[in-house]
Amino acid sequence: MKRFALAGNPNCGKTTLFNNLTGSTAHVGNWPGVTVDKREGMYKKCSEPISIIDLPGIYSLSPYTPEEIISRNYILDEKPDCVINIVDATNLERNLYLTTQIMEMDVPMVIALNMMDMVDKQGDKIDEKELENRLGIPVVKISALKGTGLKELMDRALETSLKARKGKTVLEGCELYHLINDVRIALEGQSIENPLFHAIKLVENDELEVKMHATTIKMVDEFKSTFKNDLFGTDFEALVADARYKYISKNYSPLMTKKEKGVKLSKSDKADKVLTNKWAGIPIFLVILFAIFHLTFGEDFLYLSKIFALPSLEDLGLLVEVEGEMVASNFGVSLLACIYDGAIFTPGVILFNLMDLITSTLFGYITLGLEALGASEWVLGLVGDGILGGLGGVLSFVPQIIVLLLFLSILEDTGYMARVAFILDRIFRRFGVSGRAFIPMIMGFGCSIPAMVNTRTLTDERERTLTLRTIPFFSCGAKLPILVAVAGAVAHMVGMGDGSIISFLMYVVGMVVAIVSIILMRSTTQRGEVSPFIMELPAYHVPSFKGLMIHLWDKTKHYVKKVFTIILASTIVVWFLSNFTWNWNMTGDINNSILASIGQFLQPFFTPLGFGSQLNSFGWVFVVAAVTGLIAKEEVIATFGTLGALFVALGTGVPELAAEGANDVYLMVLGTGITWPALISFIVFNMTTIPCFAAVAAAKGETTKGKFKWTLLFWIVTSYVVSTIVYVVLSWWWTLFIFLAVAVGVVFAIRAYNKKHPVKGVN
Amino acid sequence: MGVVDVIIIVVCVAIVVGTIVLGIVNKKKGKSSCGCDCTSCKSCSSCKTKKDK
Repeated sequence: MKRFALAGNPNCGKTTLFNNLTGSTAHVGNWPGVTVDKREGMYKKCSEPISIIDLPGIYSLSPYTPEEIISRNYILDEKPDCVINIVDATNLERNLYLTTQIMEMDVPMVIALNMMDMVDKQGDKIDEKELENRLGIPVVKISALKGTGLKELMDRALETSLKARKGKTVLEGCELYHLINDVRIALEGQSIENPLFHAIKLVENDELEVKMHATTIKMVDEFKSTFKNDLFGTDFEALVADARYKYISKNYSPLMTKKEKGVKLSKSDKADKVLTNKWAGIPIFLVILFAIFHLTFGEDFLYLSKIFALPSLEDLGLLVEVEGEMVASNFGVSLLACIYDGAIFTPGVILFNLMDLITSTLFGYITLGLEALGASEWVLGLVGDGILGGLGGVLSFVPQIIVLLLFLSILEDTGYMARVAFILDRIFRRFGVSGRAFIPMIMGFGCSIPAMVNTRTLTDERERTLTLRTIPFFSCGAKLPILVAVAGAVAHMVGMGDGSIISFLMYVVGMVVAIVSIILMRSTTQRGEVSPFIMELPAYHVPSFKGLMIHLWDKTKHYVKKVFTIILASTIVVWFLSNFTWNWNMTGDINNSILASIGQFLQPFFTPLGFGSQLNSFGWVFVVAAVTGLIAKEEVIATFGTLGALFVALGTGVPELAAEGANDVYLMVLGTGITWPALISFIVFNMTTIPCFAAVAAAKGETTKGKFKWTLLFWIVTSYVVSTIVYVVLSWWWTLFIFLAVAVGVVFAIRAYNKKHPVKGVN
Repeated sequence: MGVVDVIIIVVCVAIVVGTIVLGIVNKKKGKSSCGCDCTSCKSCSSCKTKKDK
């Protein structure tokens, strides 16, 4: 099967093209030995299937970064049948620099002139035929975003792959060309492949080439000893780079005709004037973030019910009384209740309610079906209360997680996220990390695992450790059910009505804990300079619907798979452990169960956090839920769902809170006597403690063995201390002053120590 | 114990055992412990398939 490699600068549209060509066939893995994404997929619309490899985005083929080494070694060693060089047509000169280097390899090559939609929009023109003539390489105009020109590109690439190609250089007019040619001939004599490419790299004093061609380098060094350039001295790499740019400027840049625009700002520039404004940038970001959370969790769209007195469904006479409860009079009203009941719900909550309606209806039929088939009581309990109760609590959150991830993907794909990293750099630097750390942190809102992997982009070891340790504090999608359910119960207890503000505040608490942790670590175990932050800002663009959906499907698929494997298995195990004694006899009293005894053993350790020994004999449920959260965070609510039915069986009154998850939590409240400060402490504990096992495995993969155990300890201690402080301060407000005094004391002690043991480059 | 009860027990045991076995098999294959095939985990370091080695 033919293999084509995609090569190009970062942000040239390579990934968009790759997604378009391969769609759902894409597979992401690792390049062996280094920690960079490897993306492979299949293109099936040609006369034969073609394997497409997406090489990392690079600016050149020099050996300074893992990405550059990977790309060049892939082309040299794996010998793809064709290299498709994606060139951003709006940035021709800079992109062609890499083109001139790839051209020097003996590999069939096609240039994809991408972002032609933007060139046309700007009224500019490129003479691609003349460019093709001058480069001697096929050039195809495409727009990866719009999906135009792709078939022509692949047909051309397939046609090109059938003919061998000899490397060609643009350095023939350069002072060093004679030396390059002599070295090339010498390498050809040694039967070395890609002699032109290796020759140029040797002349540039490329580290890897010098090691590989120890004998040939002597010839190069002899010449170099007599050569000196007036401008660059003996910096041969700079000389070669200058020669390339001069050639590009003279021969290729004139092929682009720009429309006379005067000094007019592009749309991206105009947007940046506001969005990256020194004063307005951060407030705008906070507003956008709040809007995202409101649209995902809010039960009152734009708080309209606070402005207008909207009637509830009961007021409208659409509910009927059935066995003391007000229920929808028909299915149409049930559907309406998903969208409106005294307030217009936000999109996230609407989808949540719809999912809840579907699952509860479906599960109701399943239970009735089993009853009709003559299943025994305990089996009905296992399936109805255990499995369906647990799954239902988690599945209902799938739509909200999708909505949250959709908004975050939009921010990422439009290019806004890169701007936020840039504007936050100034602030982050005060805490001891660069703005680059923001990207993995914000990814943590989706899932901790790719966020931890993304810390590889941080070149500074200390910064990587700091960021990795604080990622779990940015509550991932799996913790969303815990937040929403517990916040809903707390809101009911304090008479707030809507738990979305509590959910938002908990996210903010997570961020505050992250900032404080970073400052503490920077002052103690991770002292050192903050690395510089240089980043290219891509132009704003409307993300493609297809690209967004692929992104979303990737993330959702993983969550749904987890629900029907790990969480399903866990709910079965939890049900058995909560209904059977150590003698494997079924018990009607949950306090005699295996689960209860495990929970009761661990319960005293959580007393300072508010959900330990101070609760009644059922208080162990919170401990058990927190422990099952180590398997997968959604398991916390699934555990409440499973245990909730047992509390109902004990005669605990069933509240009617808006969310199913909140009902289960409130059952725990009624059954255990837990206070609302302890519930808040419970949320904080789950948000800051060791993440799920999968995330722990990811963290282990990204840290050294020595640092990993400290990272685990860091999570345990932070969650324990922070939750204790939250519970104590919320229960006895005056203790805030004691904690503040202790904090001031700690700060002074650290400062005094650091003054005595300074680190170079750090205040 | 009726037929339905037996079927439910068998299914539950299969789910629990199957999940554990899947986790062990994935680990031996070098895949992530969460069982993902890495398309959404974006090449976490434990997502190394034999193909890459």
